[in-house]
Formats: sequence, C-alpha cells, structure tokens
Amino acid sequence: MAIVTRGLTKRYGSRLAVDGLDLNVPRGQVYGFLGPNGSGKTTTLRMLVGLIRPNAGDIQVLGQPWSWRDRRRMFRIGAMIETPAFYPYLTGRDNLRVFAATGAPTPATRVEEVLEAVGLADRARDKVRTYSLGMRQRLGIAVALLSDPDLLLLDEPANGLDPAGIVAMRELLRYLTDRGKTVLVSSHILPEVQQLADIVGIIDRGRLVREGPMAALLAGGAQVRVLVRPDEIQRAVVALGQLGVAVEPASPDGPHAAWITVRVPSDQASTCNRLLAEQGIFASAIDATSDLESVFLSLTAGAGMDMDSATNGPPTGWGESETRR
Amino acid sequence: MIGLVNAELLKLRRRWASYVVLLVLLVLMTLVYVLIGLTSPRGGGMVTNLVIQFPSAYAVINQFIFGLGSLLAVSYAAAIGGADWNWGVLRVIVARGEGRSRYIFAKFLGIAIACTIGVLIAYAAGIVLTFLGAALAGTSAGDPLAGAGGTTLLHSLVSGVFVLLQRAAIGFAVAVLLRSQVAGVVVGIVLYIGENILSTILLAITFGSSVLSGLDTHGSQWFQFLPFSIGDSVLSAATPSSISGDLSRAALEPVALVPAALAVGLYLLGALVVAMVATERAEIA
Repeated sequence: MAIVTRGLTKRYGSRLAVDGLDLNVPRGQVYGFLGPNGSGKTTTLRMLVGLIRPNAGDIQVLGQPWSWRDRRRMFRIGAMIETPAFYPYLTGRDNLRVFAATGAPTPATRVEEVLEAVGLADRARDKVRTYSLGMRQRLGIAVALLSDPDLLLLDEPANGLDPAGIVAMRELLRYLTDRGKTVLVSSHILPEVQQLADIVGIIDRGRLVREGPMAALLAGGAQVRVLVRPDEIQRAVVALGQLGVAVEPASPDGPHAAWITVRVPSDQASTCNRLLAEQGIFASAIDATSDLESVFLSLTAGAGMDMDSATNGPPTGWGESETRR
Repeated sequence: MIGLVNAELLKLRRRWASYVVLLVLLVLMTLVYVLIGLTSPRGGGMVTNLVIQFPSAYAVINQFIFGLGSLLAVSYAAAIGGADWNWGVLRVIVARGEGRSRYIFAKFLGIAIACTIGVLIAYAAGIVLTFLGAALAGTSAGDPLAGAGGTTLLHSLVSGVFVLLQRAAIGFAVAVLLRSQVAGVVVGIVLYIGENILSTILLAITFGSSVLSGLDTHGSQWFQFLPFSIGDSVLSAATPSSISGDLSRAALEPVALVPAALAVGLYLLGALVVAMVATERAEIA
C-alpha cells in the first residue's frame, strides 16, 4: 500500500474535521479522493504531508509508519496542497530552482524536464505573477514532480485548467502510474475523476463513506431513471415506492413525459420496470447507466455540493498558454 | 545548507525590496551630505568639520548606517521573513520534506549576507559622500585611514554589522511569529521606535535624578539592556566617537563592550531560536 491511515482524526476546537479516517491507497494506481466542500479532504492531505498534526490515528506511507517529523520520507512524496503557491516576482523557472533547493536532493536538469512535462517550457522565463490560474496549476504540478516522487498527492489539480490541459494532465498522471507511481487526486470535478481514478474514496463530514475500485462503485450504481407520461407520475411513484427507497419525480409542469429517479443500484432497473408494468404503466425509457456523480450524491446526500462538470477537449497536450490574469 | 542559502540569495537578488531599502538609505545620506556641504561656511566650521572630516566623520556614517539602517534592516528582514507565510510557499517547502528550522536558519543567513553587502556598499558610499560634502564646503575630508582611522573603520564595520544583524533578527522573528510581512514590518518598526522613545524618557529621568542628587553619572541601568538599546552600547564602545554614545554617556555609565556584545549575541540567538521554534510548532494551513 502507498498510504494507509487508521483512525486518523483532526479536531479544530469542538469541530471534528477528520473523524477516524481509514484510507487504503494501493500502489501504482490513481486514487480519487472525493468529498463535498468542507468534508475534510484538504485537512487529510495536510496531515499526510506533515503540515498539520493529527490528534489521533496512524499513518503509513510507502509501507512504513510515518510521523510528521519524518521529513526524509517526504522526499518520496510530491504534493500540491490547496492552491499552488509561488514567489510571484520570480519566473516559473526560478521558482522551480528555489523549490528544488529544498527537501529531496534534485538534479538541476530536473527543472527543465518538469517544465517540459507540464508544457510550460515556453513561458518559463515569465514572472509567475503574469501566469493564468491554469498555468499556476501546471507549475504546481511541476513542483510536485520535481523530486520524481513515488507518491503524488494532488489537491484539485484540474482547477483552472482548460479542457486540453485537463486531458494532458490525465495523460501525464496515467503515464506516471504506468511507471509504478501512485497518484492520489482530491477533486470535486467528478466526471474528471471518473475518467482518471482506479480506486475511489468518498469522504463526508470527515468520515470515509465508501472506498473501492471505480468499476465496482459504478457497477453497483446508485440510481435508475424511468420516463413516464405526466399523468402517470403519481401512480408510478407509488409503484416504485415498493422498493423502499427514495423516489424523486421530476416536476410535472411540462406537457410531455417526465423522468422519475429511483435511488437503487442500476442492476435493479428490471425490477423497476416490472413494478411499473404490474400497475399498467409502461415506461417510455429506462436509464440505468450509472455515473460517479449519482453515486457520490447518494452517498453524501448532496451535502455541500459544489461540483463542476468538466467538458473534455481533444487530446492535444497542454494546449496554448492561457490568457494572462 | 549551501543550496538553501544560495536559493535564498537568488530570491533576495530578484526582489525589489533588496534594492529599494538600500536606495532609500543612499538617497537620504546623499541629501544630508549635499545640504551640509552647501550650507556650511567656506572652509567649514567646527561643527561641520566634525561631520565631514575623518576620523570624526565615522560617527556620522555610523549613525546613518547603523541607526537609520537598523530601522530599514528590521523592516527588510520582517518583509522577507513574513513573505513565505503570506504567499503560502512555506507549505510547499515543508511538503517537499524540508526541515522547518533548517529552512528558517538558511533564510536568515541569506538576509544576513544581503544586509552585510548592503552595509558595505552604504559604508563605501558614506566615505565617498564625506569627501563630496567636504569638497562642497571647500575643505578637506582628510585621510580616512590616517591615524586611528583604519581601526575605527574596522571596528565600526564589525560591531555595526553585528548589531544590525541582531536588530534584523528581531524583525525577522516578529514577522515569523505573526506569520505576516505587513504585520511584521509594522510591529518591528513600532518596537524599534517605541524602545528608542522609552529609552530616551528613562534616560531623561535618570539624568534628572542624577542632577538632583548631585551625581555626575549613574551606573548601568536595566533599560540599557533592552534589545535595541544594547546595540547602541556596542557601537558606542567600539567607536568612541559615536553621537548616541556621547549623549548617553553624559548621564549613564556605558555598558562595557564585552557584556554588551554578549547581550547582543544572546538577543540575536534568541530571536533565531524563537523564529525556528515558532515555525517548528506551527500548523501550516
């Protein structure tokens, strides 16, 4: 395992930010760490890199127990926590140089390699204060890659990236995992995580509510949608209510058919169809495809939702340098 | 550690504050020396000659560089020390596995090197400006190295840099404790000026009581050991012609060089330890 936490707890005054978290991040995979705003994702990452001390619990990093004073273990970890931070008056290249002088011994040639890897070589001589949000994000990833780490912790890495940048980041992270690296990505851009992650951990109010392979999570999808005529909605809701789960009818304000959402795994679509047919209701359509967003919402009950839907562009690398801020 | 210090020097070289602080000092010095040269009688008067003739001119240069310069050094060190917190870069550095104390120490070493270079440049400028002032006043500045001039110059530089770095360390520690460059600069300046005012008031009270009791001078007073005041004792002892030293010596027995230097060293060390411990214990959010 790349990361194992047991009973990890962080308290701020009377508020439990992280409550007995048990994470299992396997090596060589992309782990999607999801949760609503304020659920404890960033607090967990801060504990994993020694920025803050846990109140309780144990952390193992790369197979060894880890404490916040064990700075040499950090040499094998690359991290971008919260928004990327730089010296605004230095160029992108100089920022990387000064960060390369800290922590893990880093050869000078590595600076140019990571600039190439994140597609910033042509803007490396510009001061960071002139960089767009997306460029800063890429430079933050470059800093995380400086020591060629075995484990990469990225907090919202797709923030501010354009579609081409998101695709390029995904390819870069895939390339890294293909070479045996482990990547933990904290994000609220669920479509992006769905495409990227092998394993998912969902945290809500500081507690882990689900952890497992993405494929298994989606296979046991959390909703089925059926399309019925508006005048049949009430009867359909009653019929589907026999499943004993939440049934959410769409507002029947239009003249056409409306969707009803049933919070059951997608493999129960046929059961839904049968229950409707028994009442003489014949659905126009049944959608049992499951996405991470619906799973996430069902697990977190929509708490603190602030999710973006990222559209993906063509795989054209990091794209052109974005407009200056 | 060398790599860390080099990185700090790169940051300081690229930062405008490094040049602005020195420029402010040089511009003020130039203005004062030009005004002295232009307003003094031809051939200079007795007072003018004290300012623009060596070796007494060293006292004026010291006053500029280690008096006003100290205030600038406190501000500069606070601005540099607090910037890492303001910009959030400390969390990047800690997350890369850098030792917190080690980093803070390297950061101060960088500031110390930059301040020392600044003092050398300003001191050289002070000597040149003394010649300029003398030329404008139509008199000779004399030989800066003649007689005890060379020794005074050396003592001034060594003791002055030592005191200036101690004061910079206090500004640095304040900014690290407050985790803010602006708060560090403001509080550093307030402490520096506040202590000067406090010392002046206490000196006046002590002087008044010595007059009333018919004593020529009092022994050393506790307020002479305050963090910024003790540096004046070092400067005064190392360069006997210092103006501040002459004023305080009128009422107080000056603190001897060795205990004064020890106290300055302790304050310097204490400020660094405070900055390092504060950073070690900090939860970086």
